[in-house]
Parts: sequence; structure tokens; C-alpha cells
Amino acid sequence: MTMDVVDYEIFGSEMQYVEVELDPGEAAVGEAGAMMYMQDGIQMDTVFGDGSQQQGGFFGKLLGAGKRLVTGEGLFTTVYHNEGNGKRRVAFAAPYPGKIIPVKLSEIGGTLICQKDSFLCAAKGVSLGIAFQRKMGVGLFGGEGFIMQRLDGDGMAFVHAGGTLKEQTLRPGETLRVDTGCVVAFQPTIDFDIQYVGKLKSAFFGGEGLFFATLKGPGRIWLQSLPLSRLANRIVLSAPAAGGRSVDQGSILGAGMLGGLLGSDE
Amino acid sequence: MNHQTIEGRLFGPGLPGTGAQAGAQWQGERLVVRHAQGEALSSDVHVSASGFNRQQIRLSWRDDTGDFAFMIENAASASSLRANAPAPLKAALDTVANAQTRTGKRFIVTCAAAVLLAVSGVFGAWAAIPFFSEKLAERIPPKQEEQLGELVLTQTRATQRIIDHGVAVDAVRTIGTKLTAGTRFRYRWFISENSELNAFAAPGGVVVVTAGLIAAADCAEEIAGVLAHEIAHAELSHGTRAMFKSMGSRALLSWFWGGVDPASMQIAAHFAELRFSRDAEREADRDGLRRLQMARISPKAMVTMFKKLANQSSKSGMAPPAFLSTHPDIRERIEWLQQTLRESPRLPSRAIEVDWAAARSAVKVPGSGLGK
Repeated sequence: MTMDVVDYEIFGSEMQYVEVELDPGEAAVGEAGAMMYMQDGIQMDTVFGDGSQQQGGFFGKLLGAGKRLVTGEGLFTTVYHNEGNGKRRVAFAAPYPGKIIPVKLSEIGGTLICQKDSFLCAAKGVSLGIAFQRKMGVGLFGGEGFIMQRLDGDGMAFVHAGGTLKEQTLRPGETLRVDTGCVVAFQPTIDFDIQYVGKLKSAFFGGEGLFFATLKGPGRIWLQSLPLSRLANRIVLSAPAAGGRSVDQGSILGAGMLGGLLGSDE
Repeated sequence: MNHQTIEGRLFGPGLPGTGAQAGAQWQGERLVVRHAQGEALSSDVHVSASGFNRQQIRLSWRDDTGDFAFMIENAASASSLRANAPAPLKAALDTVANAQTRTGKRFIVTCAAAVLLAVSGVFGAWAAIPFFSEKLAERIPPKQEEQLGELVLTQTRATQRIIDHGVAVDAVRTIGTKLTAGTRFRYRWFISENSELNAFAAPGGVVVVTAGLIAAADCAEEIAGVLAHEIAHAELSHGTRAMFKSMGSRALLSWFWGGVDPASMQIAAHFAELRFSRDAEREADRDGLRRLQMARISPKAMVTMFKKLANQSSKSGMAPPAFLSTHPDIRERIEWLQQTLRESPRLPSRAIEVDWAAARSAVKVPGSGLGK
């Protein structure tokens, strides 16, 4: 299938958005709700599925949409088609603090395996599917669950992850042990496995859990420093209303009315 | 030498980190891998199942520049790899293929097992509920059943007007006492000011009859039929069983250990609407009939009353009263009663000594304009 070649620019540091430039006739596919702005001439069209199969029949489209639902995306994707005369831009924003990873699928062999719900946008023609984790142990303890996303195609795809990104290329046989949950994406040539932490003491008190995720080369991997769930958990736990410690001046007299009287920014 | 090219991706020193598209061919024991920038020659090749889900075949070797890996993904390449491989490697490739199918199979089997387990667990729990409710209901001592009955009475009083004395109540008591010889509980009789035709027996001997039912009965024997059925329910602990089923074990056990929890109060308040199982109804019919016969009360009246209740509801289009448990086999039950009566010996019956007309007129049916 033909792939559109798109130019792009990523803006921002911790809360990024990517601006994609489309030639006349080119299109980009975005996750529902990810669009930030688009210029005149860009037509937005919501399709059932990822728009990559032209002829799939109704059942084919249904299956594709179902697969997307399972991988954490919505049933629908939105296609942004440039129907104007010149180059036009459309931007897609990341939904939480982190980094956008641009991946040229042709460079990595046409397939990328990434964590659930990380797909942001791509050139039209990239197909989004499910990658089932078939190794039981990895599915249960690897931190990514049994369902990951699989992006296939030759064009540009943009994936989003939390925290700071680390991109690394592993040599054949080179292994990296990673905290479960910090794996964002990898080439399918990478061996994603789990390894027991080793010492019972470390297992219980190390805070890393019982298993590491191990990534063995060859291939390229992307890691994140802060999975969203960890960030969200910390935020919720630290909220004074939820029992966290408040550093506001009103805290001695209580976070309620009196605290408000003594001054707060809200 | 053969000319079938095996497609794959080559990784190694001097090559891009993300690999290079390459085609390989066997040259005796070695693999010649041709890629965009040149070619690589393998030495002792080691075969393994690798990559995501172990779905790729990896051929790795080492030379003085570093480690190489040739990854094969598609099935066609995998088969041509095996077809032309040197003998010692063929065995290794078979092991790899087996390892791959095994991973796949294990996954499917585990998924199927998990689904099966979940389904059978749900089904098992659902099927076990009647069994466990019965077993547990049997274990509840009479004292606690009486407490439960008291709770139902209190909750019912909150929603309806209950009369516990007067001419009508005395009449009901007279009839009821004839039927309660040798029972476990100390029975108490109440009338609720409700125009519906209903009656229920809460666990532990609390029997409530609606004013509407009293008004609909032409003679004391007809009420006796209903009371006999209800006493049977109480004696056989059907009420406790039904409450147990709807409350769930947690609530009932917490009550059993002392103290009532809000869930029980809810159920108790709607006790009159509890549905007994088909078997429970049949049991109550059988036992009720037996009581009537033991008390020398004409059982024909029970049939008449049932018919009256069934007909009234079908005529008016309303659902049959809760007392009759909206089972479609009410006709079946009437037939069973008639059949049993035909077959059983005709026992002499005595009329119940009670002024039914007085009792009936003493009862106030709300909204009917009848009675005082």
C-alpha cells in the first residue's frame, strides 16, 4: 500500500506536540482527540478503523476497529487530508507530560511494537494492530500486559511516552535489564523477556518487584523514565485532600475554610 | 550450492543499528548474507528462536569485528532456510521450530483454560447457590428464625398498617391454631390493611393475612387452606432459604452471628414480594394439605380458594397475587390438589367453629368502602 511521506517538527520539551506538514493530497492519521490545530485546506474525516485498508469489507473494518479498541485506542480514527493547493500543516498534541517519538518505519524494517495506548499519529497507510504477548510470564509480570500495539508500514509514525525518553540500539546479544513499565517500544527483532530479581531481600524490599524486564538485541529500543501510572499515583497520593502533606501556610489550621482565609492561590 | 535467497535482516558491526535488509544463501556450511553495503560471511552459526514472542529465527555468529545476527521473520524464508541448511543445523532448526509452536500453543491453551475456568466458576457458583442456601437454612436454630420473623414484622409495620387484635384477628387465630399442632414455632397472627389478596409467613411463626384476602373468602375453611400453605412454608424454613438466596451468604451470616445489617433490613421490608422456588411451593402445597386433613378441615376449600385467586387475577388482567407465586403452573398445582384429593381417603371433616361473617365485616379493606 502506498504511504504518504510527511515532514514534521516537534515542539515543546516536556509537553510536546508534533506539527506535520502534508503535501497536497497527502494525509495523516491521528488518534481521536489528539488534534491540536490544522490549517485551511485540511479536511478532517473520521473513519472506522485506521484507514489503512481500502477494501476490507464491513467485517474486515469491524475486526480492525475491534483490534484497536483492545489496544487502548478508540474504535475510530481521524484522517486529516490535505485538499488544498499547497503544503498544509496539522498538529497533534501529547496527552500527558512526556516525549513524542518519531519513528520512520521503513528504517526499522516496517514494524514497531509499542505499549498500549501510545500511538499518537502517523502518515496515512500505517496500520495499527494488536501484538499479543504470547509468553505468559512476560504478559503477567513484564509490565506491559498481554496486549501491545503493532504499527506496520513504511511511513512515519509518532508514538508518545511519559517522562524522558531513552533511545538505544542493542547489539546482537546485548542485554539490558529494565524496570517493568519503562519499556515503550522496540523492533520485533528484540527479545522481550522477564528475569527474576535474584535475591528475595531485593524482591521484597527493593521496590522493583519480583521481576525485571530484559531486552536482548539486536535492534532498537525506546525506554521511558516515568510511566504515566507512576506519576498519576504519586500525584494522587500527595494531594493534601487525599492524605498527603500540605506545604501551604494554612496547613496547620487545616486545609479547609480557615486555610483558605489565610491565603491560597486558588 | 543453491540459489534460493533467504530474506531477513542483518545486524552487526558496521551495519545500521536498526539492521539492514539482506538476502542470504547457503554455501556449504556457511551463510553468505548480501546487503546494501556488501556481504557478510558466517562462521559457526548458532540457531535460536528469538525476537518478539520468539517468532523470529536468529542465526548468530561471531568474527573478529564483533557479533552478527541474521533475523528471519517470514515463513517462506524460514522454510527455504531449513530446506537448504547443512545437516547439523537442520536438527537445531527443528528444535527452534518446535520451541516456536510450543510457545504459540501454550498461549492458546492458557487463554482457553482461563476462559473456561472463569465460565465454569460463574456457573458453579450460580448452580451452588440453591444447594448452599438450603444447607445453611437448615442450620439456623428456631430462636434465630424467630428473630428474623420479628425483623420482617417490624419492617412490614413500617410500610403497612398491621392489626394484631380484634374480631377478625381472633377468627384467624382460631383457624390457625387448629393447624399448628406440633409445630416448631410459637405462631402469631396479623392482618394487614391492604386490599391486595395476599398472605405470607415470615420465618419463626409470624403469619400476615391481608384484609383483601379476608374479604374475598366466603368461609373460614377457605382461609384455612391459605393458612395451612403458609404454615408449611414457615415450618419448612422456605422463607429463611429465600432470604438467604437474595441476601447472599455474607449478610445472612453476619445476622447469624448477631446483629442485623442493612441488607437484611431491605430484604425483610420486601418479604411479601419474595418468590419461593417451584419446589418450595409444591412442598408447601403438599404439607398444607396434610395439615388440613390432620385438622379435619375440608380440603375442598383450599382448591376453591386457589381457583378464586387464579381466576380473579386473570379476569382483571393483574398478575396473580404474590402469595401464589407468579408461576405459570398455578393451574398445574390446582390440578395436583384435585388429583390428590380424589386419590386420598375421604376423611371426615368438621366445620370450623368461628363466626366468619362477623370476622369478615370486622375487617376494613382500604379503598373498597366495605367494612367499618
